[in-house]
Amino acid sequence: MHKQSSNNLRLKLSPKIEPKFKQSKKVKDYNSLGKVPSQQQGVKQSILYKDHFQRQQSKDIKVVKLNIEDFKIQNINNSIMSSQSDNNSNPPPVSKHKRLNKSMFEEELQSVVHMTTENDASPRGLNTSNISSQQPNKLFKSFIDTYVSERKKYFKFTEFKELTLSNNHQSQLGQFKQIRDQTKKQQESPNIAQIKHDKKSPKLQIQLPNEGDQTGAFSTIVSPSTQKISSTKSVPFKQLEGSGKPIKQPINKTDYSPKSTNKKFNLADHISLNSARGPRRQEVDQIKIKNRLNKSVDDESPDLITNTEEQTINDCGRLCDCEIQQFDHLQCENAQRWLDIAYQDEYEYEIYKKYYEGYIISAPKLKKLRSSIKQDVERTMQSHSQFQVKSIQKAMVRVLVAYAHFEPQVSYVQGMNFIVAALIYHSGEVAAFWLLIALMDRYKLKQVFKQNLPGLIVHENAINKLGKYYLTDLFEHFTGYFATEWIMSLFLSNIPLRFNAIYLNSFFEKKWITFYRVAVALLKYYEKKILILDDFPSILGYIKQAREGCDYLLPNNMPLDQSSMSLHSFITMTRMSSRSDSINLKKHKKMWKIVIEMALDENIFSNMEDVLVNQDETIIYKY
Amino acid sequence: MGNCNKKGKPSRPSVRDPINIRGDKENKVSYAKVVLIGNSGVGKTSIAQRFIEGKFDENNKNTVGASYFQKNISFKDGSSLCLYIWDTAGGEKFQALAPLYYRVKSKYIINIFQNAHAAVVCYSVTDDDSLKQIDTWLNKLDEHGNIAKMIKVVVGNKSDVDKSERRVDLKEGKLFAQQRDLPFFETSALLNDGSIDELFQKLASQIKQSFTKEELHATV
Repeated sequence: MHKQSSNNLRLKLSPKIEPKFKQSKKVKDYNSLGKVPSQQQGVKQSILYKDHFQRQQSKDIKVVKLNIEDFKIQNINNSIMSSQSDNNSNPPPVSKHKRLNKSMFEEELQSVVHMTTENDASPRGLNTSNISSQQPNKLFKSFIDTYVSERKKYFKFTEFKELTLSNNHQSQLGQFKQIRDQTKKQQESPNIAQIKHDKKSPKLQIQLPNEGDQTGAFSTIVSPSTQKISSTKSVPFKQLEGSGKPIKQPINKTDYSPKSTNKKFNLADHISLNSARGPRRQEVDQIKIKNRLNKSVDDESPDLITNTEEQTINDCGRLCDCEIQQFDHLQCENAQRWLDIAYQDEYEYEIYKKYYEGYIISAPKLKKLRSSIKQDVERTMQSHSQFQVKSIQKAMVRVLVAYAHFEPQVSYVQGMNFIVAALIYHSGEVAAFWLLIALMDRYKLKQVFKQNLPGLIVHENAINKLGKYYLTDLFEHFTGYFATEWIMSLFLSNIPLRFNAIYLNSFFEKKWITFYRVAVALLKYYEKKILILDDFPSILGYIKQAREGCDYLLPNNMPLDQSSMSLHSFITMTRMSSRSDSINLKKHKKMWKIVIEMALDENIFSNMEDVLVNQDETIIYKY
Repeated sequence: MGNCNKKGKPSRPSVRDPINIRGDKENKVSYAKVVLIGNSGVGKTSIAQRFIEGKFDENNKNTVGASYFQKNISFKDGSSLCLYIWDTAGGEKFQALAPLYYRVKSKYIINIFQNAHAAVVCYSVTDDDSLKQIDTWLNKLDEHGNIAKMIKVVVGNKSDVDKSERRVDLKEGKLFAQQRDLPFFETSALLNDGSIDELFQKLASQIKQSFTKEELHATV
């Protein structure tokens, strides 16, 4: 739906105008690095845009369909224009920054098809090419200091609401429309329109759209402290009026004031609830009261960071038993290797930690997202004693929330929790975050988790193709999209923690080809038994066995005979046996040992890359 | 497979031990496909596990994609019904998985909801949002399911929690289901109080009543 309407828009623009969009984005990108674009450039842009609107009007082209993506672009344009004409005070850096940040994601969304450059995995806003080569560190650090302090300063008071928009924007859009309709009704009856603002207990105040504002947008004011932000919100629209008739816009979505968003969501929830359940107002009221009673202190003051535990980093380092090369490193040798591959010696712990800190501090308190992440983290690798520790779980939540904030297009998807668990196991919190970003960007894992999961089908197809080539009998017996879990968790929910270092070493080096090798090897291991089974569910169920027991605390070199078992392994074994007796753990471990040995043996499945060459889509992933 | 076509032998815990399914299933055993849907974390896997294996696993992982269970249910009149239970992932983005297809021996299945005889729509009594989301799940069933008389059941899980943790009352859930003309159950996968067995027993008998034997064939 998205793509279609954006295409519509693009079609209606003349080809000459198209590149200007791209240009403007570059400027914005620049902006988001913390550098102000040169005045002239910006002015040019604004002129271009005014020009563009006028031209559009002269041609009498009406752009009616505007989805969220387009709207954002529009918004960005507006912000540029408003910042250049000094009629009004400039919008505060926060909102500007956020908008621009958002635009970057947008740009990236369009350029995903292209191959990644070498620096793709470097942290956002850290374009080393812009910094002079003579004093990279000083510039770098000072920049980060300002960056982080700025973020701390402003982001306390703001919430990046659009994070959730990327997920279920459709339903929310409907809710917004309902709110808009409501405000329109209120506009008709002026008595109800203005709710008085009580200073002692700041409450929601609905401010009606400014006169002549046909957009139907409204802004909400929470408290005097955020008044500035909300007052500047209307600026873009006024500017638009100056340049001509405003283009139809659904609603003002970039309202970052925290309390107002909360209230709005509640309001919207109740509206949808009402419509869904029919005339059940009494019950709705009951729920309202209940919600009010259940509110914690945390809810009452969302602009203040009360729960410092969620915000402070407590990097305990690795949890694994791998060898360490240097003692000053928090991550194990393997994790260091992955960082070297992904960041080409650019990774410096302190600097990257600050960056990560920035993402955590600026991450909004999205209760829904947080609770869903927490829910999943609490059931990740729970048979492993180290993952039962609360501090580790909190670290995992922090990493996932920070990533959801870093990449709102992707946000959080189930399966990421296993990847983060495996990374934290080997590298500690900070490095896990950066390794996750490297996996997402450089290794195109982002494609798998994006809206509609486009990468998933590509990988499923690749596995099916390889299966048909190597395991012809098996894939004549059955095909289908069965590898969802393997792909969504990069096999890390299946491979035992003890083995995953070997696997990940290979993955970071050879990319997805390693993944395919393991998948084919595993299927080969199961081949005979799958051929017996007749229906897809039981095949699926059989394959699922591979996931059982991946998190058991098996000692590294556990002997496979019971007699010479160490005390440690004995304790863990007894703990495990209480959980599930149906799984033969030794068998499971042996199975994975065989599978991984088979997968990493280059003599088996030797020409896998050649088989995949003909598959166009997988070339995107560079295998 | 396994426990579906055996006589006398004790039924085994489902999938773990594959036994040749080829047998006389066409003649004696009817098959029904049941999908478990609902928001993430409401306890779908736990419900299935309690029903199939009779135990509660605290260390359940979150389901990615879909997983599968099956169990045989026998009735008083001697006949039996094999339930194929598809346990789906509740995560938001997994909704895109619906149009995936499977094929086994030239039998095609386009999506998980296809050929489903019954759907168990779950919510958690500790999460009022999951109750609200039931409507979206019901819409999804209408959209992707191909059997018109599919039986839908609303289930409120985690009934064992304290009153202080409860967000959705029993009455509220009942009323919710009533307004949609759906049967309602409140269950607990943690406690072994028989609530889940009751749920599936009633569901199975309902399936048997509303579907003919031909319709209960194994196109799962």
